Amino acid sequence: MPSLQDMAKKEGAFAGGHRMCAGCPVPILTKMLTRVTDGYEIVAGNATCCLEVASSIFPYSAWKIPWIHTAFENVGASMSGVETMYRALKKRGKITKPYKFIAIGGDGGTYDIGLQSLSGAMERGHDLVYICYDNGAYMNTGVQRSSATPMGASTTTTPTGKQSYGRQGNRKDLSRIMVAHNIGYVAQASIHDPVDLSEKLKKAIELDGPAFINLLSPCIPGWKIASDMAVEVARLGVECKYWPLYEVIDGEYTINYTPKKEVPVSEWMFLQGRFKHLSKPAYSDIIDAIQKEVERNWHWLARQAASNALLSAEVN
Amino acid sequence: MSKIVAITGAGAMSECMRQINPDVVPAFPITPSTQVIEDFSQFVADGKVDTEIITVESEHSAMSACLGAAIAGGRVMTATSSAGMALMWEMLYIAASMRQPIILSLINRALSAPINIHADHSDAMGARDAGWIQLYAENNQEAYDNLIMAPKIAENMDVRLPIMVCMDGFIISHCVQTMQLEDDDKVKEFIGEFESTYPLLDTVHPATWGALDLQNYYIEHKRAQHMAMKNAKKIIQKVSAEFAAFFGRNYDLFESYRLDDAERVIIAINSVCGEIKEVIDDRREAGDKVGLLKIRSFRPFPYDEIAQALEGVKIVTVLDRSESMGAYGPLFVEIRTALFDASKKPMVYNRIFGLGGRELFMSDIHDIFDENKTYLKTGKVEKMFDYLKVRGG
Amino acid sequence: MKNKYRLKDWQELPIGGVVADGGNSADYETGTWRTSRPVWNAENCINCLNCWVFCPEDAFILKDGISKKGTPRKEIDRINYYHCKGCGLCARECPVNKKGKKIAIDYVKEEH
Repeated sequence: MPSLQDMAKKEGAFAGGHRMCAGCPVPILTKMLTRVTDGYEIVAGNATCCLEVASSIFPYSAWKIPWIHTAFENVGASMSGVETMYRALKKRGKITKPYKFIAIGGDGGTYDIGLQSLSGAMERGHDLVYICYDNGAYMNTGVQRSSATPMGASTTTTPTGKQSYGRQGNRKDLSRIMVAHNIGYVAQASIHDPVDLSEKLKKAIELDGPAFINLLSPCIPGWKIASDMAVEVARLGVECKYWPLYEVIDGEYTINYTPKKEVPVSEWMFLQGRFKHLSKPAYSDIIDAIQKEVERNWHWLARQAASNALLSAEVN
Repeated sequence: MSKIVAITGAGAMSECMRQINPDVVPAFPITPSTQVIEDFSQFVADGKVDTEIITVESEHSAMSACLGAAIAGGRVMTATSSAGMALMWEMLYIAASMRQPIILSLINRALSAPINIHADHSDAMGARDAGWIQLYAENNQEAYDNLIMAPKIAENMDVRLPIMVCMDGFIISHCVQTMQLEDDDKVKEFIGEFESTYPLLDTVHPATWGALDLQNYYIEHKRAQHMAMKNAKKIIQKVSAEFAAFFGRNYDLFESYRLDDAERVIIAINSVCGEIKEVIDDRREAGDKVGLLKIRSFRPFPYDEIAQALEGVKIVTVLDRSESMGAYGPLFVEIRTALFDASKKPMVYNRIFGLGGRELFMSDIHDIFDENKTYLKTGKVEKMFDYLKVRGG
Repeated sequence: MKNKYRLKDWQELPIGGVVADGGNSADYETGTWRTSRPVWNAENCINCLNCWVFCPEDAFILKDGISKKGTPRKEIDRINYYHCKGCGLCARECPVNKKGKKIAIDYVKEEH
């Protein structure tokens, strides 16, 4: 497991002077792209998103490694092309070093408009790591809802109002969709736990084949939290079981962290301005619905992990 | 050895791709371009090429993967038609402005709706502003030759733009014609090795591709792209001259067929030109001074050269195989512009034909020459714009 | 710096919108964004590197040092105020700060 000391000794891929918001936790991810493994040339690609725009305002670039952005919905496809050209040139003897490829997108460019190209890339078996930093809305364009937006959140296209409590209905579970692609590695991680994230990133990169990491990544203006709160809010998001930390390796589930205390989801929600309206008594049933959904998901996950443990025990 | 073969247009594209042996081919099937990729897939499966094929899940992803692969640093080819081209529309612009010499076989087919799988030029014309070089072909030989020249044109360091090599769907793509298939080694020798620019896989000099431009830089980048397309015109001529020296067939920005002393001319694109040439030969026997200007390069459009070729011509019928609803046809508009500054302007008018595969027969082309004869005689263009061969008029 | 980033003519630009000098955002000053600033207190720092890993601006400059056991380790050298946006993540996540007895990273209003 790469420790902070291990990572600090290596060269980073991402320079300062970028234009991410003060307190944005996404650079916690970019900080470690080249610091979790050895022996590979790393090439990264981005969907259009906050990270892409803020890191590459011409003539500046924060990327110290080769990096490509083409459009919003296609980083899965673009990186498939890059990875395939690498294999083609390697086959022809024009490249000898081992390379690894990392595609990064927000939940907008991944859950919604980018879902098709992500699905294609994962299904075709490219040696590619896809990391989705899930901040629960199209943040780059001003906080519009995505299919990753949690129930009840106020976004600019699902605002609270006299006749609305915010985002209606439950969010989609992309991590499970990725597991259904039968790829070797799927994981959920959070920016508040960089050591856990670094281990998952290492596994994903070192795997030969497609890997997917879904990363909980709070947004300062989108979630309406103070600029020093992203890590704290992510931590609580995991503690209240909204965002379980788990891995699925060759289809077998392992929960990496089981919170010891029962923390109601509302405690996490009321740290954030986007859920503030739900504190009204009229919305208590929405709070209940959200809590129910979180528990339902957790129990489903726990059953997968338990049956996995059971099967392993039987085999052994 | 160079040899005569009987082959479909799509088959010719595929053979040429085999000879080029590109690094990566991302493709998604769509009628009638599918055979290009199917035949090529068989070459891959039999080890006749060592290209990596990516069977992508849509045409938008096909062009995205083409772009990623090209930027990574290698030669990339693909094929599509109609709705496939329409779906990759966003990425066409991006490929051109990211200056990647991607090579695409466009088997021209009508855009929906209604859904129709037959030939017209709405797919290519819809993409005419995307910044791609567009070359057109009357038959499978010309399309094959264009595809051989395509890498040399697109990859030239004064150009570095993507290129689409067009032919009519079904009429050319699926009909067997004879053509000269050149020798594999000669084709490879003509085309040469691929040279990359700021390849993404260069980790010693890491490049950032796809940065955001604010108002302070976008137009400068576009001006540079404009220069590249401007340069493409003379590079097309240069490469065509080199092709003639290598393989013995002559090409230019367009073909002037019996244009020298022609008084009445048709200007058209792709397969209908074959029939027009037959009709011209017929009518010339009877002393009728008619000619054809067959477009090869539509982008860049050779305004000056066309104006010069049409000197002395008295009337021009421009045949468009696509409509720009609410305006005159795409080719007509360019021809009119080319002729605007001519000291002696011919009469010019527009006819739309062939949409969704409604072919013109020889008799229809005779009718066109009869009509423009009447116009010339009366000195008046009765109808500046009309549809040909549509029931109801 | 002024000359390096002056607005260039179209002929001077590399092809296709490429930024050939990857990582040059380091030349861009984001320190002007601050309304508060962290102040690192070396005596109270345990070199856990939490601040370094959480800092979005890569503003914690490291140096080579020795742990208590005598093994080489990376240590905090200073804060790079050219890039620090003053978000306060470092001060909030500092474990020494959290214990409540000492302050390893103070967080004060920026003087303008």
